[in-house]
Amino acid sequence: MLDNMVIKIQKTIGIPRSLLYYKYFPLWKTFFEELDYEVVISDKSTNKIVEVGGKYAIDEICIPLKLYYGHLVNLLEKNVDFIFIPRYISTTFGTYMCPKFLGLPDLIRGTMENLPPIIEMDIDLRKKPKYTSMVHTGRQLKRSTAQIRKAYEKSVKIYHYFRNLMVQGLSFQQAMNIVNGGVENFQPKSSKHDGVKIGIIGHGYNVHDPFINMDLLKKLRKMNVQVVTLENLPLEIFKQRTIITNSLKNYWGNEEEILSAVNYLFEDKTLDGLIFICSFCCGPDSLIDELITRDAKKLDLPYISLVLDEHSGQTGVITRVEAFVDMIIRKKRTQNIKSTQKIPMKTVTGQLEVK
Amino acid sequence: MGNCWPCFKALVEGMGAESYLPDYNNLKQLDSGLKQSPEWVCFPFKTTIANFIAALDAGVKVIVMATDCGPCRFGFYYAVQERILKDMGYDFEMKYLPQGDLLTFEWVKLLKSMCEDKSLYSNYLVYRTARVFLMKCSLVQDIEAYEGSTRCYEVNPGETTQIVKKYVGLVDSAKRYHELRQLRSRIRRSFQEIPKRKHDGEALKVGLTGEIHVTLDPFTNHDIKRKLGELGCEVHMDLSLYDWIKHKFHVNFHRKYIEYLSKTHKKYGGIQMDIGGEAFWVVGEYINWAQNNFDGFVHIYPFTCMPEITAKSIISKMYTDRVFDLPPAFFSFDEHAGEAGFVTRLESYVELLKTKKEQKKKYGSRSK
Repeated sequence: MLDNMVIKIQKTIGIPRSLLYYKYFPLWKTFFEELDYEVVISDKSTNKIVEVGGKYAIDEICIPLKLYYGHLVNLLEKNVDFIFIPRYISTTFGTYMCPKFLGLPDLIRGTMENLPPIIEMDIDLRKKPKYTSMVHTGRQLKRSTAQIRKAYEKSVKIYHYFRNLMVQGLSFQQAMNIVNGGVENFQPKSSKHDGVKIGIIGHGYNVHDPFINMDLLKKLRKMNVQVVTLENLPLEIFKQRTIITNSLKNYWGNEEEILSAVNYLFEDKTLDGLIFICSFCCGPDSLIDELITRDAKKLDLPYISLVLDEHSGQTGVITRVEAFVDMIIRKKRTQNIKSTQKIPMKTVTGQLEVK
Repeated sequence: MGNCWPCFKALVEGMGAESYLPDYNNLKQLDSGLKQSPEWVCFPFKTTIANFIAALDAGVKVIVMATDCGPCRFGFYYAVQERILKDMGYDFEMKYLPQGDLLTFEWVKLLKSMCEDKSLYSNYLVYRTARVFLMKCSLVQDIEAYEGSTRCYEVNPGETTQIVKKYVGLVDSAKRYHELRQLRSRIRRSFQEIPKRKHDGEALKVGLTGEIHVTLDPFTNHDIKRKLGELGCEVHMDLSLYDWIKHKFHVNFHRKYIEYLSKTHKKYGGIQMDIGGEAFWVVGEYINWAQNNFDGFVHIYPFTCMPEITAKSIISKMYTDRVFDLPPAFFSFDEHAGEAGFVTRLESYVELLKTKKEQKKKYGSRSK
């Protein structure tokens, strides 16, 4: 009964629209809403947000983290009562996240002033199950265990629903709209697509943030390219640990997903090209990129890695991607001609129209 | 890594294998590494792969590389390097030394695999080599500690450097445990016998710490230790190979203490757990030295090192908030570093420390 009386005044929890927002947001949102808190998200990333974030962050840090600072400042302007900063240590057994995630609450607490109370959530699947950590988070908000349990069960359900939507072929934004209650024109994944099929891999916060990648996904779709992101792949492939050499198993959480997705995509014969989006100064990606490049070379698969930061010019990146797509189209046509042998190659390549 | 080469050499040769020693890192050797490594990987990757290429060119068949299981990039080094070198067309075998936790004793297997003798005698060899290795590490640590504390007082410039060189050579040439034991007192005595200016308490006490490879390798850090000494600073460095190995055997109580310091300063952003690199201990060390009235703190790390950047932002915030009165200086290194710019920054930092010390005498400390 006492609990019910406290609940009457709804307090707000701010969640920055950066980093793991692009992966776990439905989970967090339902969890806090079930605990009777209002969830406030910061505005979409803009140039201004990066500039503000750049003042707090030091110069060598990667752009998603600079954005994170900017979003935090944006939340402060909205006068939230709490700020939620999770500490994801490991999400599957035997892996770590990037060091920046491990020290994220410490970093924010150490570098920013006038922050409202921070709510932490230490997810460490090497040591304790997710439920325990979420109970701990709920306790910080002074809620009963029964209520937390209920919230936990519902939030996990919603999260799986959200993931399944994406596996069926929806983009991040579409799936988000459906989970939030909006109606989306839902077209089931069509197996027939005459255009080019390109896999886009990278961290969720790089691939799905239209500011960082300059709305690349939309532009590719406009070029009549079928885009496959990491989340669209079947869930089973992420269950096995990837092995790099006989003695080394990969130990980075995010890279684990990328590598298993790449391994899956390499076996997909219908795939025409691969784009790797990574942010400048990203530690793990610098080595993963090297490995994927060498693998792709062996398979003769067109591969491009886009290294992005807040200074990268939009036109330069778009030109590179357009050239990449054109190259694939040309390669495809010559292959078709080679296989059918109807027309001599020289005349056709001269007449090729590139969209 | 700087003066640590005699230790690793003893480790290989003690087991009866032959070792190859590449030159000290230099620009010419580094060039081949730069061409092969990914563009924005951290700097130690580039130096180590350059060393491997030099070694393979000289006809080496087996390469041993240490690995870690931590969240930092270091654990991936050997796998990616093996891949790159094999693609270049070299034929060799890559062995790895798992040093995530030395108490698992997996290194014994590695040492035994180097030995041709497969009988029980190899167990004794492992014991003897490990003992000599640890002794050498500890002697090198001694030499480096004395070097830091004597250079700023020497009358004849360059004398300390010579003695360091001489004793690192002697540590290398001594093969038996008892020879090494006698060396310890000789090292202490000869550093004490260097003619010194009178100790007037004017020398600045500067703590030097950071990522282990950069801190110990004089090519990578532009010999920052010598330069600080010549500018009149007593350089204190707790970081060494011996310190690291002790930590990996879980008997390094100094590190345990600074971990505790970092954890108890949670309010100011003290790191709560090991996040790779040396970030955890750098923050703890900063607090430790601030409490012991040091004058300066220099933190060095490779460009884009993920954990050290976290530590850097926490430390600079601690100072600007006046939690501690210990001015920090940060230097990040990669192959594009310019020598002159670096020296200017270092000189101005030391000048600032000097004026600060005088002001402190007059007006007292500015910390809360």
